[in-house]
Amino acid sequence: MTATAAARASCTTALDTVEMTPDGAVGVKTIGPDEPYLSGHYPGAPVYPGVFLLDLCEKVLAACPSVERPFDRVDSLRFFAPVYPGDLVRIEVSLRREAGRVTGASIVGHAMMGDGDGQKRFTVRVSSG
Amino acid sequence: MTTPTTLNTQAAHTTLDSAALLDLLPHRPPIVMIDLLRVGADRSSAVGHKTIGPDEPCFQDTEQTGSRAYPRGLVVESLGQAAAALWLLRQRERRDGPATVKVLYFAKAQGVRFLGDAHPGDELVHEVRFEREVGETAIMSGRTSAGGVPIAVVDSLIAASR
Repeated sequence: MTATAAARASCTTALDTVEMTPDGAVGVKTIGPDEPYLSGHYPGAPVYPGVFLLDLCEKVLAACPSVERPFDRVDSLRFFAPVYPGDLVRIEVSLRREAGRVTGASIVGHAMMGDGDGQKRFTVRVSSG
Repeated sequence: MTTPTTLNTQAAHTTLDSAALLDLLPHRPPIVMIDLLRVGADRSSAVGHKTIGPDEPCFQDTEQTGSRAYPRGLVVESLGQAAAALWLLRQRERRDGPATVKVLYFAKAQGVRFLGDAHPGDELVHEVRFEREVGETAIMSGRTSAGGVPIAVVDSLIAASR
């Protein structure tokens, strides 16, 4: 049995905003240059760690009232381009339901700098069992 | 850059200590997530060790109290660093010189299952396997236990180096 989201520490700072949508939720966060751990990843060439994006996805999922426990499977996780300090990351969660019960989620992450268009940076598919 | 320091090189295994791992990996504190790596003689598998410290940045949130589980993302990061060190050691030995990797990118993962949790004081033990290499991309797999109890399995992890 794995811990609830509240009983697990996090390697990322809080999301800026989380809004519920008909399908799930959308979380937004600007990646600051002083994020924990970032100084070592990598010196002179900072890249926001991919696993931290997974941590942010968990935060958006935890904000969904219909998600009772963290999902215990990441069926697929794919990064298309790096996320850098200063990027604004937008994480869109679409929950999957079977017989009214939430069984998984599909997540798409976009990132943008300033007013630029958001570019798809990652996709995640999670499920239970 | 120096040749990796090995604590113990025998016919069967090579053990890389933290200094040797820092010489291979581009990661630097506080995100060095592997303490020791025992590499099999054929360089196709390795066992990595990492003890979770209570003073790591993820546990510094003063609004939270009590013993909290280690972030899943850091479990995967630690496993990934063990796998990456195995890959970079293979590269270095094959090229007969130091690797020049400055950045590692996490490109893809499939079949990641979380079976349990680890807490401060626990030692993560990662059993990683090198599957294959395509250009500057490597495919690896692994499983992690804490206190002898399996907590994570990764069927496929793909990393790219620059």
